[in-house]
Amino acid sequence: MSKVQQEKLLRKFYNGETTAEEEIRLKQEIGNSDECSPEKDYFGYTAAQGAIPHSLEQDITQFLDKNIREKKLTMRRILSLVSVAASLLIIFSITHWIKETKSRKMEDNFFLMEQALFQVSETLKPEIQEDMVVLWVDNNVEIIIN
Amino acid sequence: MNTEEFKNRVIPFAGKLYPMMRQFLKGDEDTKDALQDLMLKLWNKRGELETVRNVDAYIVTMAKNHCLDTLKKKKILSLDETNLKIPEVPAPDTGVENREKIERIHKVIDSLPEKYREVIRYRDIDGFSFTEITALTGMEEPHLRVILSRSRMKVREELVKIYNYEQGTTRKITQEVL
Repeated sequence: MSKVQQEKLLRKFYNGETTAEEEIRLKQEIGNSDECSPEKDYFGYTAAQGAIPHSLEQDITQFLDKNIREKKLTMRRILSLVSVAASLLIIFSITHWIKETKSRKMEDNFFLMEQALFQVSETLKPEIQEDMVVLWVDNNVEIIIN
Repeated sequence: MNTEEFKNRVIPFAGKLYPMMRQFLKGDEDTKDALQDLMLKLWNKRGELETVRNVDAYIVTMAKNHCLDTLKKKKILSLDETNLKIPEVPAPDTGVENREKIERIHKVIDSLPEKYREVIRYRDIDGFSFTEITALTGMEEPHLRVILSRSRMKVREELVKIYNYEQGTTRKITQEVL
């Protein structure tokens, strides 16, 4: 960069009109020059103040990767726990359903048998005739005369 | 926003945020921790980032708020944001004279009115764009440029008063602008 260009850029800089690229160029030019100037000191100061750790981006990327991985792992653990719980629930429900069905079937069979026995007992029971006289009825004995 | 987009778009911003966050949090370790937390927050909000009109300004504002929250949690200082001054960062490789100059410049910037100090810091130290500074300060770009110009001139003026620089082009330029 020629002296004239540098002067022009400095004028722009002090007017607050320089772009970021122009400022970088100016800082490089002045920083590399041997000449002492207030700008050289000022740019040295801003560089020191704005200095960032060398591996900042890399450290942040590693930190993020680690966290994302851990989060994924946690999610996977939660998912596997949920799937185990869901499987247990399904097994429990099926077992319960089978038990219920069995017990209902037994109840139904018992009811059917009860009904059949009732019908047999009804069939075997002698009909009450009009000319019959009941002499005695007890829990155990029934005396009837035709 | 997927991982690659996030790494290309948001993580490089850390370099700009670091000096600004260090101004709030003072120590390098605290700044790095806070910056990592902030990046994680941003990662969790990556869906939201896609809908934001000015992503850079959004990130800067979030960084600022994150610093204030961190300070609040640590109860380091009263949270009068307007009183935040630039902490001095020791310059590498410098001799006594250079160190002294850095201290001088530091004092000159610290003595500027708050608005001026803020603008010169955002632009010349943190390297923010005018759009970002507008989002941070609420000042319009032409106004920002005027403030920046005055701040830079003031720093130069003070340096020239203190040190005997060779009479060269830079001095003439300053006088012309003044």
